[in-house]
Amino acid sequence: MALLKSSKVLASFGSQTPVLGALQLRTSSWWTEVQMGPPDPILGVTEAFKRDSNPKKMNLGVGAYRDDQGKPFVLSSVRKAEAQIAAKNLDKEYLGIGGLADFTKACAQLALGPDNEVLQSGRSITVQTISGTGSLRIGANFLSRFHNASRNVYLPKPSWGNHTPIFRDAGMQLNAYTYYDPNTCGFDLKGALDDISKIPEKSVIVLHACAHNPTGVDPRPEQWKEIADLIKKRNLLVFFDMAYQGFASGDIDRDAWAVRYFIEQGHNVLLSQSFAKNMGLYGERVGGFTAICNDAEEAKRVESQLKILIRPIYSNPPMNGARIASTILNTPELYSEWLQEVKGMADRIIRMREMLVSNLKKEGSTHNWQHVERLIKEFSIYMTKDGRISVAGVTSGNVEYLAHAIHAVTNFAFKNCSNLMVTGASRGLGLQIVETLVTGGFFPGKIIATARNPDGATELQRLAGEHHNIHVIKLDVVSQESIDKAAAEVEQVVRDEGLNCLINNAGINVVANLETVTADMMLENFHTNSVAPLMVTKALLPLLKRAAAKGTGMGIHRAAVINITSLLGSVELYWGDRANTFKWYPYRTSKSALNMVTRCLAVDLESDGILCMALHPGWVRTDMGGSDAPLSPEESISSVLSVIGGLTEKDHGSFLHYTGEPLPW
Amino acid sequence: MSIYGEVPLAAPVAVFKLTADFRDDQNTKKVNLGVGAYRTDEGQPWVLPVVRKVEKMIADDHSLNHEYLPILGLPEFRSSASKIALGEDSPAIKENRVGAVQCLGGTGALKIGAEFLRRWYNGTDNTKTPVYVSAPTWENHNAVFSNAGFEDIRPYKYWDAGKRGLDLTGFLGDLEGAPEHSIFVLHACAHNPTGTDPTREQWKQISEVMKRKNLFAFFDSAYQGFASGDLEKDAWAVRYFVSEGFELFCAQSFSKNFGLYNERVGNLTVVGRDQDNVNRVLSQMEKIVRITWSNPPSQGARLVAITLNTPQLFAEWKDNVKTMADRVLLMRAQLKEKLKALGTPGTWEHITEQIGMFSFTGLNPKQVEYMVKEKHIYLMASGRINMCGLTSKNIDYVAESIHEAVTKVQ
Repeated sequence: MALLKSSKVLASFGSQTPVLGALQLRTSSWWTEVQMGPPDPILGVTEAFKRDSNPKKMNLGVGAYRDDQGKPFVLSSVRKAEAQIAAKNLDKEYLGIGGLADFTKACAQLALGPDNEVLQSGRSITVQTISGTGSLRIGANFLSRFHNASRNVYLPKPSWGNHTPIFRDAGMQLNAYTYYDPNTCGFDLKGALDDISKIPEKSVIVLHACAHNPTGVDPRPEQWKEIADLIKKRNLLVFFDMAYQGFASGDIDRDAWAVRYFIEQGHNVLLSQSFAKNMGLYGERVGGFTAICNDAEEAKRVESQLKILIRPIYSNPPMNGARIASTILNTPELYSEWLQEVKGMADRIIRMREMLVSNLKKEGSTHNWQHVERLIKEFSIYMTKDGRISVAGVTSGNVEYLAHAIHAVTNFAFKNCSNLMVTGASRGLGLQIVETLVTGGFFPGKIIATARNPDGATELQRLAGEHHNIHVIKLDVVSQESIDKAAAEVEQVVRDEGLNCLINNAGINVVANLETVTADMMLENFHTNSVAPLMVTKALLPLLKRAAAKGTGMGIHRAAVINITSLLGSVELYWGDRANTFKWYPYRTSKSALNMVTRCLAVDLESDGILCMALHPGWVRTDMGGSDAPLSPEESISSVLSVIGGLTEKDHGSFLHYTGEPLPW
Repeated sequence: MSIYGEVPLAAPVAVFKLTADFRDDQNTKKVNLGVGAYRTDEGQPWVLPVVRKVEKMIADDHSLNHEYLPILGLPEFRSSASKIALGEDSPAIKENRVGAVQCLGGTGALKIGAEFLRRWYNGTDNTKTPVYVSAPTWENHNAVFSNAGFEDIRPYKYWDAGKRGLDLTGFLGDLEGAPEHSIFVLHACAHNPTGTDPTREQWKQISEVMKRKNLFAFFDSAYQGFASGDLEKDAWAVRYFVSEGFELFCAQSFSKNFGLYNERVGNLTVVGRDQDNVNRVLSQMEKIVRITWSNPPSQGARLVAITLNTPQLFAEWKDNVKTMADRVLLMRAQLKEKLKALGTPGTWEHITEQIGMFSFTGLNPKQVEYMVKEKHIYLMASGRINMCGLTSKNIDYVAESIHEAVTKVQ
């Protein structure tokens, strides 16, 4: 399902599906006018980095912490809290709309400090929210409904990419104030003060409490004081976003300094908190929204309205994460262990930054990477293509470039691969392979990209027009005549160097279950997915051998055959708990057969030094994979190329997951 | 002068207030028939045994972590949840024209669906499309749609108070009279709060009018399996509409049938004309989720996905669901019998004709007030009771109290 869908598949859908008569009654869809929304790349980046098998990798993408092995890290204090909770056999009754009281109390204490006058006088209200986003959302809705004095929200330039759509969707007007100075890569105090002094009274100003996202540049305490002063004079409503308490400096009090200082100075601030990063509770969605009011009576009124706002969005918040956070914050031993762990994570981030700088230097980057060392956390603003700040679209631009840059560092193996061929390159994963190789800037050799109908492959042709190392060749993998012709053309391209890497990627999915499957469908899928890769490899064998004769060891620096297969072809995995999904006879069996083809080739070609292996690229959002797939083509291929680049003798004859882990046959 | 000086104190949400009042009541005979959650015959919350088992599996599996889920949620949860709603062999699923979004409970699924419909249905950002909700309906339906921006929310006739049953004629009349493209929120089973569902024949009539009038069906399925004890039976209406060629939404909650109230597990199933339409719809829903909660919580979805995808656990879950449904059916039968035995004026057949967690007793607001004030039996002002609040220990007291309220208060 990771492979290209041919037009034949569409035909087979038509012939096999017993369309209900009633279905014909409505021929048009309600949704024909709905445009395709652009994918949000931020969250997927974590996945891409997770699959990067290079030992030097650093996750700088989505703000999720990784341990020294590059693996997700569950805090020991979290594991212990979970064990304590499990032992209590607690029920699963609904929480109140405002959430778990033990949690919201501790949450506010963490931010404000336990002795804060605000908490003692009860003039604040904290509700549990769906992490930082949910908190900002409730705050934005509250402002929209009750802050009638102004619609204006001022964000720092730049700010977290999601701030703008959240406030805009709530009906607020977005504005910006100067924050970052790209020339000094630091905080622009003068620019900020100038801009803030012009903000209309009663406007809302968003401040990042610590570890400014995405620049990582925070004002120093004396600068905060100037800002607080001016904001008071301008009579602005402050909305603090605190997503990284403790994670920035390793010290929760230090990171909360600005929030506490503003409150001390009489600002009745709004505050958004997230426990995604500092407790590593990303997927549990734990956060808090706090409004500081004049007195307890006012706090009660505000609370009643917050509940009215929450009820029609999700009724009441999820318990699991709040219980974990609450247990940690309210259990002295766990709390002190957690403080240690937060510090440990913060310290490690500094080491990760240093590693990135040194690796980029080692790769001979001409950019000035010095400023990376000055950043407080793991975001990637320093990675923009011109080395400077891009205000618009900061997050998505950074993320894309970052993925390429990381791979430029980690995939040096491709520098030694002179000639690479990929079949089925007109769209889907094949096209993505070509695109990532050429735009990532780490593949200097020739790329032979084949397509059944090169004239129709507009995107591939466009790439080839821009990158002269791409050679587009016509190849219909189910025609022996076409294979032979293509092999002759490939020889013209690679000549004496031979072919270093053949990626058999072309494939189809003829969907049929036990009820609908026919012999023709089986044979059609077999021909493309199992027989064709063997015949293509056979035809190119002289060129592969030619390249292999020039090298030693095993890998793409010498000669390799990569068969793009699927874990749906794993005989072993389709049993027990994992059975009863995707009952596709033609596809599954064709991939099982391809796996055996791979193993046979590995046995036969070992003496020639040609590495043969089968690779599962994941379930990818391509025409074939559909929209439910968890991976984007970029994510899949960045990981796939990382695996291919790292192949050695030990991977010969293997069946690997795109993460680089072995799969059962 | 405070920035919040103008914020008025909002009335508390009724069902949460009822719970608080009950908690504060010191009377030993007190009974809470107000909450929307299952109770055992001992009056206790019940964590399903299969849930405990899967929780332990998750806790023992240290390969699992707390990373973010994708924006649209856990893929294996979404697909298995849709499969439960539409059926294992649903042609729509086979034709790849079903998509899903993991949401925070049924409310979250309604919210994302409503936000999408306002943005992309019947034009773009059309706040004027009429949204019809049943009279009466779950009190949050109105707020969900009006908060999503819909300005024209109308009731459709549903409950016939005199008959204590479905007002089919009124319902069909409102369907006939609705402007083309209107959105109808339909309760898939176990109508909340009346417990009264259309029969299959009646659903067919409803579907016929909706198709002819080009109306949009948005199913709210909060009680699948919980109503009859049978997953397939409770999903009949949704599946029938799909088989009739409707493009529709189905908001699914796993709060009741999995007892996962506080884990906030829901799913919005989208059935479209074809894969391309569904893909575009999901891409826009992804944008909405991103600015609402970014990505959904993982724990509950993991629990449900593992259970639904493991045949043995799946079978166990179905047993657990049946245990709950059977207890409710038993309480219904007993309450009816007791009221009949007491000779309580009026007909009480509707108690067993209704289905699911709730029953619309037909008690008027004054009688309800009497129940609360004099008898310490807490129920919604609408006369809705949660059948799970009844136990073999308190059912006599409740029956006698209803008898008293009906005979003493008009």
